[in-house]
Amino acid sequence: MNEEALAHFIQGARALLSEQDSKTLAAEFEEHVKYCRGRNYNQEGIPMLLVLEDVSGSASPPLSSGDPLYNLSLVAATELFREQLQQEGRDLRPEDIFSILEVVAERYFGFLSSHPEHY
Amino acid sequence: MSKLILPTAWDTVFRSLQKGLIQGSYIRTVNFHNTTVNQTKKFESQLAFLAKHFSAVSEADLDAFFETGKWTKDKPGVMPIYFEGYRNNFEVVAPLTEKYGLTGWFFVPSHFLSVPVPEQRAFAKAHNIGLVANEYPDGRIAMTWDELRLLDKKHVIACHTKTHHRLTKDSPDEELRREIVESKEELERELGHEVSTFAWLYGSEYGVNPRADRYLHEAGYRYLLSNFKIQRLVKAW
Repeated sequence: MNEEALAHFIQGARALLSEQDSKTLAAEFEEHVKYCRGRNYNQEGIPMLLVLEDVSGSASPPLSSGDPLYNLSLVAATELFREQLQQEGRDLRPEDIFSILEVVAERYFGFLSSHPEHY
Repeated sequence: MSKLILPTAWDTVFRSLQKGLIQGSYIRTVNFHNTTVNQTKKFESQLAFLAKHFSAVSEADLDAFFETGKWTKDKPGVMPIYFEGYRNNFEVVAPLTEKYGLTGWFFVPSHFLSVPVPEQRAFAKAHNIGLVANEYPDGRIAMTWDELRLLDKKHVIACHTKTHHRLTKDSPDEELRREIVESKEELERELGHEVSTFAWLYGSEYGVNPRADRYLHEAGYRYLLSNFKIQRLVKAW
């Protein structure tokens, strides 16, 4: 991943979002975090996205799947949510990664799942 | 103290996850623990939704994805994951998982299934296995080995340590051997075939404790499932 390009992409996304959109997104993120934290992990199905990584040391091709623009949106969402957590002015904890991913999974689990039935 | 331990700095872990997402190198999961009968309707609609939009994932599907770099099924993959070896996983959600053509991934702390029924609640309490009040009049909350063998015919059985154990950076070797190696041996003895996937309590990933990683390799596990990743430890083919 080209981190510089990602930073530009995020900056661009930020610039393109109106102040109202940013506020709406921030408020929705907070709501989603509250919703996720309020779930009963012992008795509910919790959606998650797990990244696949090869640590075997063997040569293997890079893994790819899904719509590249959808995948880009997932990363943009993780970055925007991270920025929002950083604005709380505390050190980020391992649990924050879990929060970010579970909120992204809750909100954007499926590309087609929110499409109309006839799609 | 945080229950989650990262193998490297926060930013490094986070960037590695973003890299995986942007490449499409990820898979969807839904993580379940207790699946009580009074929530059957909710579980059924959740599994029906998953089956409509996603494809089942077997260990062979994961192997193929890692080998070829491509996800070849027409829909993205989803893994319903059932942790702890609860009786209600066998009785309530396993039939629904099968009804909708999905493959369940059952992560079992091997010793839990061998604990005598009168001691199961105390064992669960002592080992961070979540309980539900007054669920079964006979007191049995763990699935039996026979039930696990039935699940094994249609689903993936994976190792979730021996005693539902949490990895630390200082976990002594005897603990690592018991939780990684003995649990695998126990599951394989009961199932009659290799068990290839492992997960820690609180989902530590590769690199948190290099000695644990060595035991995982020596035991012959192929995959380590953690909070944020599925890591391939060794090539399948």
